[in-house]
Amino acid sequence: MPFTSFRFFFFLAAVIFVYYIVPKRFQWAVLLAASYAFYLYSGIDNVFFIVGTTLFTYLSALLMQSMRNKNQKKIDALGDGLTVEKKREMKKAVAKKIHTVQVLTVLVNLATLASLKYLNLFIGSANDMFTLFRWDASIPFVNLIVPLGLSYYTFNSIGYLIDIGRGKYPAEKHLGKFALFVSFFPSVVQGPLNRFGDVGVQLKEPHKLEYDNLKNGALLILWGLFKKLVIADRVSAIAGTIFAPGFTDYNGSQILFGVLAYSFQIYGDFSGGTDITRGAAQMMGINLPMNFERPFFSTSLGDFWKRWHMSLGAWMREYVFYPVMLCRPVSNLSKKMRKKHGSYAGKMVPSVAAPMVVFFLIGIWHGITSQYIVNGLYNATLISASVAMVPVYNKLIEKLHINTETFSYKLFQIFRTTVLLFISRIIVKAPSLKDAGLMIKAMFTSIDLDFLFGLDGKIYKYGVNEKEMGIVVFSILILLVVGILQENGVKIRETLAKQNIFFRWALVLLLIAFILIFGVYGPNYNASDFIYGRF
Amino acid sequence: MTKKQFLRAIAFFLCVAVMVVGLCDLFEETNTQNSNKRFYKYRNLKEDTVDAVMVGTSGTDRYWIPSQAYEKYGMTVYPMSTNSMPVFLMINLIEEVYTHQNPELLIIDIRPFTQENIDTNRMDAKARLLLDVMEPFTVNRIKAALNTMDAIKKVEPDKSSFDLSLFFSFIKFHSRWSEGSFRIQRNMGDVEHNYLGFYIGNKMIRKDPQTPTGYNPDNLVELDPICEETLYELFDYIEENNLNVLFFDSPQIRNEIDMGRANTVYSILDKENYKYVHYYDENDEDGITIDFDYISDFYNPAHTNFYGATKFTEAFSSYLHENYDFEDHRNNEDVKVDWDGVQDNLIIKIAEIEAEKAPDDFIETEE
Repeated sequence: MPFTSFRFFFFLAAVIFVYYIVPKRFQWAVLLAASYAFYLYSGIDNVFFIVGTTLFTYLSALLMQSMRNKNQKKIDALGDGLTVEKKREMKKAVAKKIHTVQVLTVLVNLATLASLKYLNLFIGSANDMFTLFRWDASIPFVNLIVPLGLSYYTFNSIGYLIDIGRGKYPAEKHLGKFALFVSFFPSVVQGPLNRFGDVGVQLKEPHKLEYDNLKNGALLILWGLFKKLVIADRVSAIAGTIFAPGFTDYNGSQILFGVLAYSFQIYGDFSGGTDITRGAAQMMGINLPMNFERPFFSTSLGDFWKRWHMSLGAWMREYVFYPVMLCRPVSNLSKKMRKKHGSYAGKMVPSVAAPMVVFFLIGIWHGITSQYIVNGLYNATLISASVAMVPVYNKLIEKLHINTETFSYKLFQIFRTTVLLFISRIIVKAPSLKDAGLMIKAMFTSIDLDFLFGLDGKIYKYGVNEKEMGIVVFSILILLVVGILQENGVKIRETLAKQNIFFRWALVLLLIAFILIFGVYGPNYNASDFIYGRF
Repeated sequence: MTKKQFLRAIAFFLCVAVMVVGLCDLFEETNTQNSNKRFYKYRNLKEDTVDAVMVGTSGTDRYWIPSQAYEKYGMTVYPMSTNSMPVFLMINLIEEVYTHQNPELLIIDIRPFTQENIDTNRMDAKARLLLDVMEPFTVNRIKAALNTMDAIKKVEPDKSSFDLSLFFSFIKFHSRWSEGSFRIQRNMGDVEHNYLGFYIGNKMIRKDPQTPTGYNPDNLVELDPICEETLYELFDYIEENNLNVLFFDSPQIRNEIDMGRANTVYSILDKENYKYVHYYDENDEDGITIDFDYISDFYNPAHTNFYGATKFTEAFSSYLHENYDFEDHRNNEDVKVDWDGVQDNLIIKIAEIEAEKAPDDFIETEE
């Protein structure tokens, strides 16, 4: 059930209605039933996997919790008879066991994810190798389905297992309430990734019908629809044409135009989808974490990754980045480097190792293709290099007397980041790595301004005519103006709420009409294609 | 949520509803100008001024020239049809007829009942041709949309048949802003561009030589289940509403299988005691004579051109005149206002088309 379909909005309206009329203690049950109904709609086969993950994670967490509780009881029973060291030793021993369980359960979840998403890719690669070496062997492909939102609910479950293993909060005893955390329908398709300590707790709590929640949630949904239907789906034709396989006329301006379109497409698609998700949840009184914070205003790649897919970034920081930074091999290597090459080199080891691992994982999370892996490493290398080069930059800035607090410097940083991001986008979107190389080269060598500014009319030959382009440009301007206001601390919905009711309504009605008229939807539109729904 | 907030939310939703209705009107479909004009004119004829209405598909509005019959006999017989209208919408079309007028006689083209292999892709598009010329948000239109979804479900049970754009054509046609084709032409009923439902287009002067269909009443071919089901539903509807009906088969060049289906419909009509006419065999008790020139009276096997339509109208209006006691309306001011002068305009229009386009220079136009 695509989030931009009328069917979804009827479904959402029905769920919200029932959610608020049932006694509050049953609200979680309504959401669970709705989540499973939503999930069932995508196919009954999908349900087995989510049920399996839910049960496995739930029981594993209870096992870890009971190990910890038993140990604590034992310590309590022995009371003062135990020395502090002995208590610490007992806790350490059980923590080790819990860690083992935690690692095993995380691995099982990861193995399920990998086998469903990547098994056939592995088989294909293996068969290619057999052919390459002329071995008379072939592994048959496995008929697997990739369940809806597999990555998202698996990552949510892994995060929960790690948190329980770390003793961050007690394991959830209520299976139904835990199942709701895993399957909560607004966020199951394309996130954001949720933490049990935050969203899981909210899902269990009763929620009163609040006008502001309904209104603000609906406004967020409208904004998401604007980004998805008016911008992303309109410009998708441009990126689709320019980056289509077999497209060989690699003029730099066309590539630049294509990557610009793709950047707005992917942002509108993903952040629009997230707004719909967050808006739907907010209407039920549940605040999901933010996933985007105006990434087009990023001043560095590191800053970009704090503003783009924030919930994945936070997840990676919590469960991969810090553990890698603090793990024994990295610490040992860091110590060795410090001894041999000084403290700067010692510090660099975790600063390079952690981003490398994180971005490699982010790369393969999107897909095991050479393009995603190269893109992950490209980001990791640049971020690590930028950390390593900080002293050099600082010296340069000092020598050249550059005032870094000016608007012009910020603009330079944004421009620099945008160029780096364009390269990253091309690596992923080009038909192949080789094509990506050619496209990047062309982008810097053959710029035709007449084309880019639409002076020769060729810009309208990529599936978006002059009128449509006008609407796209106007919509992007709206997006940028709103972004600039937000960057300057203006809270749009709060500001809007303070306005006169006629102005407020006129603005919202205008936005609805704008989406209805200029949005890409209807019988010939395939609304199910949210780009991040595939990951 | 306070009472005030609740009322405010209701008021806002009402504003949204009004806006959506306005948008639906603005983006109403524009491709089928002929059908649009036909339905618009019918809805705006003076009350109770129509003797009979012919319902069917393109075989109705290409054959029957209402102004010709009016000029000759003073009868007001109006065609109500859309191209390839799916048979399951027949009752909705008839309801549309009786919503706006109260004709003495309903003339039903049997051609829709001989449709074969109703496939969903085209069914949806064909159904829209009728749905989109019906007034939006009426009960009958909603019923027609539901019927369409039902029929799609019957043909392809596994496929989702729910399509909101059948109720709100805006959803289908909103993207027309980029082509600049908003429908703001409201004045479609003016005499200058109105031929009382008769189809007008370049193709109406095209001449495509045909070979007449051989008539063999013993050749019977099974009807499509949806066609047969609808035919029996139609009989029930006619009885329930006590309608005076006449079935007719608009002339066309049929292959053996199609002819067999038409024969099956004739036999069902015989069995159910419904009166019908066809033109395949003048010696048959239900046959009428039309002196077609098969070299020059058809623009394709399924449709007569203007010259063939003139002959059909001549023969069929004569039949109606002989068999039904329709009033001569030529002195009725309420009728004259809509019907007078139309035939002259039609002749002028055809002459214009003939002057502009040689038949060989045929260009497919709208519809």
